[in-house]
Amino acid sequence: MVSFLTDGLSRMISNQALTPHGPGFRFIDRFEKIGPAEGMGWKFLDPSAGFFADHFPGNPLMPAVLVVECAAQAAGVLLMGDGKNPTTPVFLASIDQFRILTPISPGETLETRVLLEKEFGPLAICAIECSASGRAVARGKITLSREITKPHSS
Amino acid sequence: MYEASVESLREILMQNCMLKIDPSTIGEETPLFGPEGVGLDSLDALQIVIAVEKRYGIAIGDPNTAKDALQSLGVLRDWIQKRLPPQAV
Repeated sequence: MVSFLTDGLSRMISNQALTPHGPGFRFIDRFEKIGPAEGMGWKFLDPSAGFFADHFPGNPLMPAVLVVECAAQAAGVLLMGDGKNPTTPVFLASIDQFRILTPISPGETLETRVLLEKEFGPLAICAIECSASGRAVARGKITLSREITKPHSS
Repeated sequence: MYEASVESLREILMQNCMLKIDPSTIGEETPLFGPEGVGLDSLDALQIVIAVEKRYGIAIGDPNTAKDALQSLGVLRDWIQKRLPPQAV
């Protein structure tokens, strides 16, 4: 277990750069550590975000792939030490299981609970539970890597 | 407790890894990693580690141990069998 996950204190962070992403691709507004290996991230789904216009015209819904991105960024913040060192990125390596349970609308806040289940070398498996307006909207498991895996020749 | 056999471990590979070759061609001594063998990657290794722990109750604790234990199905079988509790007679 890495040391920054062991202080045991719940800590609220309000930071405009919790992850190394640029402002156009930040999917965590706020992150709180709620246990030694557990945290919660929040993302307000701004109705003016460009993707809502086309997904779908007249019926805006949060794209499921961006829910996964929210989950990956929340897990990344947990692994990177609550945003203490946001310049050292981790990478989404695998979406092991993920289920979208209900649609999510613009104007809602996506809450992502992330639990670090296992670390093995550079890899870390995180369990994810997403909710919005008090209802469960998605859950799953993802694996992040502290290294970029070289592409394989087929 | 499950018995560790090459067949049962091949099943674990089929269920947990993204195999690029016909599983029936994976023999006892076929290297699991590298271009000359099955060509598994570190994500596959992690899935095998989790599956072995779940099925046999034996933890492969760190990547160095995994490197030793996951050389081939035969090596993994022997590694697990050495750590299984003795069967009641």
